[in-house]
Amino acid sequence: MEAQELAGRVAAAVANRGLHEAVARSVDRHSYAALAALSPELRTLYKARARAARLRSVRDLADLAEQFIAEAERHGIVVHTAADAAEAVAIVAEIAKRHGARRIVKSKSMATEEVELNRHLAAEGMQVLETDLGEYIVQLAGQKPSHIVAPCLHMARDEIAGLFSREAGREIAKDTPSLTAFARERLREEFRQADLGISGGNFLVASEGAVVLVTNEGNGRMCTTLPKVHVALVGVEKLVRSFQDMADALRILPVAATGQLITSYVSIVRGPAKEGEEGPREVHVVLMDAGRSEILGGPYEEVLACIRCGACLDICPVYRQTGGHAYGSVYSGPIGAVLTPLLRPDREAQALPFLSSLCGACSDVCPVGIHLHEHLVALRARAVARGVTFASEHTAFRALRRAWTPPRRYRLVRGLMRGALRLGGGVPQLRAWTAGRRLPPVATGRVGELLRREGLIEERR
Amino acid sequence: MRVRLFTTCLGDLFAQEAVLSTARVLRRLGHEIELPEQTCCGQPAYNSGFQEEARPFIAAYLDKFRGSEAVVAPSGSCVAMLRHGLTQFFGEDGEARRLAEHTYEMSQFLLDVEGLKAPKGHFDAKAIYHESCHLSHWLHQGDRAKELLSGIEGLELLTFREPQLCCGFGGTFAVHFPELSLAMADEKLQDLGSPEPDILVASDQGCLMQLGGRIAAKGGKRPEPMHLSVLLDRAGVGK
Repeated sequence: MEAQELAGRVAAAVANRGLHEAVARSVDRHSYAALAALSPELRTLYKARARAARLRSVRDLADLAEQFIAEAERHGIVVHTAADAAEAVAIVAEIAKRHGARRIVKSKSMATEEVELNRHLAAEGMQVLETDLGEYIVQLAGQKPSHIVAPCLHMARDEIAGLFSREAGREIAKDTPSLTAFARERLREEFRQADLGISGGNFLVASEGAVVLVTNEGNGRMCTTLPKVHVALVGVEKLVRSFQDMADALRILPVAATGQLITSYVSIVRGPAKEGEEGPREVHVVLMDAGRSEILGGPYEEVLACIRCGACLDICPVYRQTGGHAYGSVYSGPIGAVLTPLLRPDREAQALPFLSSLCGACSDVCPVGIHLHEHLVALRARAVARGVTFASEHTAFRALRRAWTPPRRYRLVRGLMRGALRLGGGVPQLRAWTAGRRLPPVATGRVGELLRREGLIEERR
Repeated sequence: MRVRLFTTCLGDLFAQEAVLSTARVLRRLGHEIELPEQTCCGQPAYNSGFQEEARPFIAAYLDKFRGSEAVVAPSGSCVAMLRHGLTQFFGEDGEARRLAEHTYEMSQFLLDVEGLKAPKGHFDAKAIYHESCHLSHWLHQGDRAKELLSGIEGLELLTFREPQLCCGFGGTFAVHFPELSLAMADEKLQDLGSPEPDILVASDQGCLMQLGGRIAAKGGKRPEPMHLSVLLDRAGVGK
C-alpha cells in the first residue's frame, strides 16, 4: 500500500513538466560546476581523504561525543543530548521560553527540518524566520525545502518575485539583484531584533568542542552572533575528531555541493562571548540522536558519513524528474531514499528505496564514497521483510523462482512463456510496460538450437 | 579459450540475435563456445527486494558454470548481478569468488581478457552509443566499450550529450513507476539530435527494450536499437 502511494505521488510529480524543467536546470548547473572544479586526480585524492576522515569519526562516534561534550562545556557551551525528535524540540523550546524569546532567526539546518522545529515553536507563539535565502523563500511559500542545499530549486523566478512582492506590499522586480536586495533588507531588520538564533551544524569538532557552520550567505554567522542566545541543533553523526579531519571533509563539501572550491563562510563557534566581547551570552548545543545510534555498527553504518552536499540528488535521473517533494521526506534523492527508512520506522518511509532505477550514478558521485545503490537494494529487501512491497509481488517472484529454477524447468517454461508473450499475456506488469512502450517481437525458437544449427557451440557430455 | 555463454532471459525471450552475434564474434576470435544448462540471473527478484527468491538462480549458476575458464553474457546488468550474488550468497572465498571474477560482460571480455583494441571492421551507419548504467557504474567500465567501435570503417559514432543519464529501465522500476520511467526515456531520447542516428547501440538488452520500445510506441522509425554484439558481428569483427 505504501509503495503504491509513493507511486501515486511520483506520477503526480512527473505530470508537472514545469517542475522537471526547473529542477533539471538547477541540478545540471550544480553537476557541471562540480565536475569542472577539480581534476580527476585531485578529486580522487580529496574523496579518499574525506571518506577516511568521515569513516574514522563515525567509527569512534561514542568517544567523540564524550570528548565534544567535555571540551564544549569547558568553553562555556551548554550541551544537551536528545534521544529523539520530541526531546530535541522540547529542549530548544524550553531554552527559548526561559529567555522569553518571541522573535527567532534561523540558519539553514536539515536537522531542524527533521524534527519540524519551526512548527513546534510557532505553536508556542514564537515567530521563527528562516534567513537562508532559499529557506526564506520556501517558508514564505508555506512549503518545505525540496533539496538538501538548494531548498527552493524547484521554484521559478516569477514565483519567487510574486512571493516577495506580496511580502513587501509592493512590486519587486524578478532580477537577481532586486530579489536579493529585498531579502537582505528584510532579514537585516530581523537579525537586529531577534532574541534567539538557531542553527544546525556541518561539523562538531570533538577535540575543540566547536560547532562549525558552512554557508554562502553569511546568514549563519549573523544568527550565531547577533542574538544574545544561540542554540545549535545537530545530529550526532556530524562529529569529527579534529580540525584536520574536518578540513579533509570540508575541502570536498563545497565542490560536491555547488562546484565551489571554497565556501564563502566557515564559522567556528567555540562558546559564548567573554566579558567585553560582542556576541551571544549563551550558547547551547543539542546533540541529537533520533535514530542515528541504531544505524551505528550495522550494515548501513557508512551512511552516517554523509556530509549533506546534495551531489547525489543533482546526478540522480529520478530526482531531476520528480523534484524532492515527491519523496515525502525531509531528505530526498538517493541519500533520502537510504537515510529516511533508517531514521524513520514508519512503513511509508520503508517504501522509499524502491524510488530508484538503481543506475548507481549516486555511488560514483558521492564525495565520501557511500555505496548508495547497494544500500538501496539492501533496504528493498528489508522493506519486503517488513511487508512493504508492491501488490502481489511476493506471489509473482515465488512463482517465477519455482518456474525458472532449476535450469531444466526453465528450458520448458521459457518456451511456454514465449507462446504466452506472443499472445500478449495478461499480467499487469506487462500492461504497465506496454502502456507507452512497445514490446519487441518475441523469439520463436530456442536460442540453443539456433547456436547449434550454425555450429557455434561445442557439445560436451 | 573455452568460453561459456550465459544467454540471459531477455536474450532467450527477446534478443536471440544478440546471443548469436556474441557467439559468432567469440568464435571468429578463435574461442570454443559452450552452452551449459542455465536459467536467469535472478535480478528481477533480487532488486525488487526478494533476495531469497533470487538465491536459487545464483545457486543454479554456480552449479552449472562451476570451473568455467570464462563466462560471457551479452549484458552488464546480469553480470553485475551474478558477480554480486555469487559472493553474497556463496562466500568471498573459493569457487564462488573465482567464478564471479571470471564472469564477464561481452565488451569487458573483449577489452580486458581478449585485449582487443579498436578491432577492424566495416559497417555503414550513423550510430549513437548508450552507456548502460550497470556496465558503467556497477561494473565500473565507464564508456570503454566505445573503444571496440573506434576501428570500424563507415561507422560514425555519436555520444549522448548526457551519456551517464539512465534510460529509465531499471527492471521492475519500469512497471512500478511507469510514468517516471517513460519520462526518463523521453528525456534521454530528446538528446538524439537531428536527424536521428540510424542505430542506437548499447550492451544491455534492458536499455534497448526501454528506448527501442519507446521510440516504436511514439511511431518513430529511427534509431534502430542494436546490441553491441550485433554491431560487432555485422561489421565483421574477427574476420
